[in-house]
Amino acid sequence: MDYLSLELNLAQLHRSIQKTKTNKYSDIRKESYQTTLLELYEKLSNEDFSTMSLLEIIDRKKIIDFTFQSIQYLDNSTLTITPFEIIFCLEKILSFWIPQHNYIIVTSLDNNLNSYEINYSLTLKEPIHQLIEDRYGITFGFRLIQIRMPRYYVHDYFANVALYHELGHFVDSKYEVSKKYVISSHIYDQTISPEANGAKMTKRYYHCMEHFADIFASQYIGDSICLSLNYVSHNHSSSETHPATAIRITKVEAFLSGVTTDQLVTDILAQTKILCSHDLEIRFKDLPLDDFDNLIPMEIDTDVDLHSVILAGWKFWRRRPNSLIEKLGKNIVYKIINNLIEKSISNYIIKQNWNN
Amino acid sequence: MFFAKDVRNESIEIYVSFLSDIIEKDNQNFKGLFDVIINNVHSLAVGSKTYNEINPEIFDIVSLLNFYHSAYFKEIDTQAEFDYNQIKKFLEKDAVMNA
Repeated sequence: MDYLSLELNLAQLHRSIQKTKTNKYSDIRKESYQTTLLELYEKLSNEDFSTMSLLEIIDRKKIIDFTFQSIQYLDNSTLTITPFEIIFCLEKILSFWIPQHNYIIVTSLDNNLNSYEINYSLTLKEPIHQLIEDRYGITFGFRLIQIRMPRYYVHDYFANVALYHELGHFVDSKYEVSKKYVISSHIYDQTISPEANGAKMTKRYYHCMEHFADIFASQYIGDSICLSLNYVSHNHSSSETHPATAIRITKVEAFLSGVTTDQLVTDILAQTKILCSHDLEIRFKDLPLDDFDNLIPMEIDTDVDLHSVILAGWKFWRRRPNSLIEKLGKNIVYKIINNLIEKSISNYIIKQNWNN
Repeated sequence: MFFAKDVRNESIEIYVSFLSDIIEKDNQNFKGLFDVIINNVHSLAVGSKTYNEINPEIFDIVSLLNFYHSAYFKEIDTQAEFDYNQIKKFLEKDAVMNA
């Protein structure tokens, strides 16, 4: 690595940042973030890389990487692309679990149908922010959480139950629930190397994270998370990063039953209570399906109803016999239910804005 | 591998850069940050703090140092000046192990 490569990287950044300047956002916080990003770019471009030490060059590369990644997130989260209603639902949950946060959820759309992922490398990565602050005196007032989702499912409230799971990963990492639990409960095996012990613990950690995220999602959308999971990863066996699907579903069912004797579930609940100051608990209710039968949006009065309307969509689809499906056919009913869920959420947003 | 090959390894490199700034430029901001980290590793190592009591923002670096170098941090004198060079050497080694 030398300063000439760094100069090339800065030129690449320049081209991208020029395009970003024309972005239009629905959220003024994104504009503020972009302004700070441009300020950072100006500072970088006024530096003479040729006089820097290797360590300083590595620092600058990390700052350019950070700027590039931020741009990538913002470019994918403009007025025309953002799935506003589902992000509103997720932001409600975020504010409950992390009050007075400075996070902005941004989205990027992917062509892969299974591509649900949350990336919080710009959010919980304090050292890079400390580095930028020390080198340039620049502080970002907000942090970006990137949610990647399939382009084809952007307005699909059946598939998007996965986003509740992804948000669970973020809350877990914010408070380090799974990591602290796994490290605290790890029994060090003296017969194997520290690295092998580390590998064992890493696998347990990954699995615990998945169980946490599943349970977290099921608080709001009930067993629809299991129905979705059982379809997209039916019969998947255990891997380094994920527990077997059947085990994941068992843990969620244990949680939803309310009387679990499952040790891991019990431990996750206890650890969450200690670290997050909130309980993992059932936060949905069974909404009557009459409105969907009558082809009208549901009237949402509370945040509980907000998430429950998505569960209601799943229940409506799975209710058989279903006179609406018999009358209109499955493809039309699928579209109608998605539209009604979106409209229900959208009406709630309008009502909230009006009251505020 | 203790930590996943993700943002955390990048963070280790940045922490190494902070330590260089402390050693070469006497950067007080980073010194303050590292003193908190070192005190927390020491507390974990001697058992006066539990993992649940560590601030999540520094949890990765604290738990990493404790996991691989617990014996060293157990013995350090928290009233004396810390040996930042030694901690930098630890992290440079850890960054390679976790790569």
